[in-house]
Amino acid sequence: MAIQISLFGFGDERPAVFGGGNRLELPAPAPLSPKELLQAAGFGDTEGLVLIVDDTVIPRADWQRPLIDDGTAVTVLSAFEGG
Amino acid sequence: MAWQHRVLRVDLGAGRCDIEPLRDDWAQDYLGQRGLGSKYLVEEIDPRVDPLSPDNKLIIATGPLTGTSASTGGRSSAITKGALTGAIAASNTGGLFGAELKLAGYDLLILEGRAPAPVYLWIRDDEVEIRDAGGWWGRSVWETEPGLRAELGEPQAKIASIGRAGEIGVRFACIVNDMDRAYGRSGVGAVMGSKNLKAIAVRGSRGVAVRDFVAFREAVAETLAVMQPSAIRKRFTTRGTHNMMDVTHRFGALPTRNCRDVQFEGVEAINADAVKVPRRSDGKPSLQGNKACFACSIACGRIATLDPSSNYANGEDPRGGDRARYRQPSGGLEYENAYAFGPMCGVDDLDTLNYANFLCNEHGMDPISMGVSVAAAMELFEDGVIGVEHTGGLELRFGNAAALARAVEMTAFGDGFGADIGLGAARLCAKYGRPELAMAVKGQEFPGYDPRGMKGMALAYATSNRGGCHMRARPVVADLGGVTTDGKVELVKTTQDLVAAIDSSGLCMFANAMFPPEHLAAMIDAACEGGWTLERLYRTGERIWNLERQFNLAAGFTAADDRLPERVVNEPARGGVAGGEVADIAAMLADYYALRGWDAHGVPLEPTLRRLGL
Repeated sequence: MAIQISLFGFGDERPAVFGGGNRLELPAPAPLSPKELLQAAGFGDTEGLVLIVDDTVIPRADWQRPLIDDGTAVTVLSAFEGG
Repeated sequence: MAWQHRVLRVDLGAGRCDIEPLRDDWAQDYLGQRGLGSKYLVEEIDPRVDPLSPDNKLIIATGPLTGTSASTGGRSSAITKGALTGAIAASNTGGLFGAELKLAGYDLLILEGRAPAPVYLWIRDDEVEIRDAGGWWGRSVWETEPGLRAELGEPQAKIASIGRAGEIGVRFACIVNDMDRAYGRSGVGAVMGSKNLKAIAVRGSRGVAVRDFVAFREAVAETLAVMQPSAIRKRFTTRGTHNMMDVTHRFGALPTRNCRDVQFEGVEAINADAVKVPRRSDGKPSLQGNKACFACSIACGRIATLDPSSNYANGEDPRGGDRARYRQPSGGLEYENAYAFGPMCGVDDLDTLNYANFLCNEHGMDPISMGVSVAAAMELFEDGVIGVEHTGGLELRFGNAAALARAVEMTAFGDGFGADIGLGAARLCAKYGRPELAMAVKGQEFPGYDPRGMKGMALAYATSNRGGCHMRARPVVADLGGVTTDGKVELVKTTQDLVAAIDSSGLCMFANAMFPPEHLAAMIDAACEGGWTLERLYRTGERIWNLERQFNLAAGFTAADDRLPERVVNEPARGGVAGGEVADIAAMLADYYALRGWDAHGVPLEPTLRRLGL
């Protein structure tokens, strides 16, 4: 089991650990907070990032809580104010 | 300083060109570009005027930072009463044209009246001529720009022109500059066409002076130091705005098949990755490279080519010439044009999307309105409201790429059913008795953010002074951060005010995503007299917003026009994070009116007007 991470809207700006793809399986021995998850997945700058689990956005106010269990599928969006 | 303190007024009916001093008191209250141009428009036209009558005016306005070395300082706006909406229109472009107008010595160019026959304007610093454009009328933007440079013997002239669409009054015709940049929205090109004005050519050599050169240089450098390492700046450069397509699709906010759906199954064929995939025919990707506007350090503009083996780029054009011109690079897919021709029409053929967009560049049409109007026509067709007897044999169904391409061609020239599509989605759907199928607010078609799951955007669309628009507030990141109305009223109001100030400065809205607004205040303060703080910029933006609102109210708009199409209000989104959501804005709208200091009917109250000096 592992945490499945899928990226949307990153292109070549994705962290190197993704190896040029948009998916990553991240081993997690214990529940992680979104902040810990993003750090473990190589995201230095979290500006504009959106985390989705089961089609629900995790509010930034909850990013310190250990919400993400082993086996969870997490989607990360990269959003900006654009055209 | 930073302002040139001069206005060029051209009476096309009388054939007169006059240079007059800028109203500096108005510049202190409205800054420039969108705000200052709107002030002149409000003072000079009857709000109830027919947009296409000679009594409407078209104002091209630069901002104080236009033509300076501030990053993205090449913006200008076209302000008028919009042909598409009947509301105040302020349409913003980049490229090189606006900076050249400023360098020629003008803050504003005011175009009034109607020329008795087609003309173009040639501005070379203080020398201004109205010249015969008879030979250019009927020609495309792509023919007119190089042709006028050759005729003028001035290869460095910057040109803004209309194509056939503006000449024949397509309601969403735009004014194209630098071949593929545009004053895009609200039908400003139709207004220009109604004045028998084919083009404006300009060459400037006067430079732009700033108030405190050393302070300005430092403020620009400090802003650049923040912008350049920004992850958002990098993504704009490498992926462009097209990046958002994957994001809105996954979230469930990608308007699809005229907003029947909010996710598009064909997204991977037309997204920002797809344009980088080498083609089988020539081994090259559709995306050829980036293009930067004047003084821009982002370069988010996309340059693309069609597949050289495609039918769109081969054979004879029934209108003359061959199609080899479509093998040349032109402005490519960004988020909005890709959304409008792609998901909104259910089309996943990349070459068709590029071709439709090339046609908009070539003939001067707003690709958002174009695509959404075709989507509305497709739904009318699928519902049996119209048939092949109306469309000239076109099977105008969602997903029919060839029909989309043909519909855009027909619209550009007003051929057959193309004349109906050229009315825009709202008039088209009203004509055939199904007004609810127009995905538009105040007559202007939606951009690519479905408002059901994006609560801030829902309010931003409904209250936008120029009709459905994603560039009048900045709620995207907050909206994607949670499906909630919490905090959205304040966010929309505040960013509407900030955007109005940025749109009046001469800088690009996109840059605002890369540095705090304090930097904008610092650059304007160093460039201009008057003492500009961030607080003053917000107040200026609020003044502009209320001025525009007053114009629209005087033009006949009411609170009933601050509403969204029935579909997004009543039909829940299907899929994604936004699944099950509808765009119910009633409570937010009441709070918004109150926060703005307006009454329950959306009319600014006396204390609000007094506070803003209106």
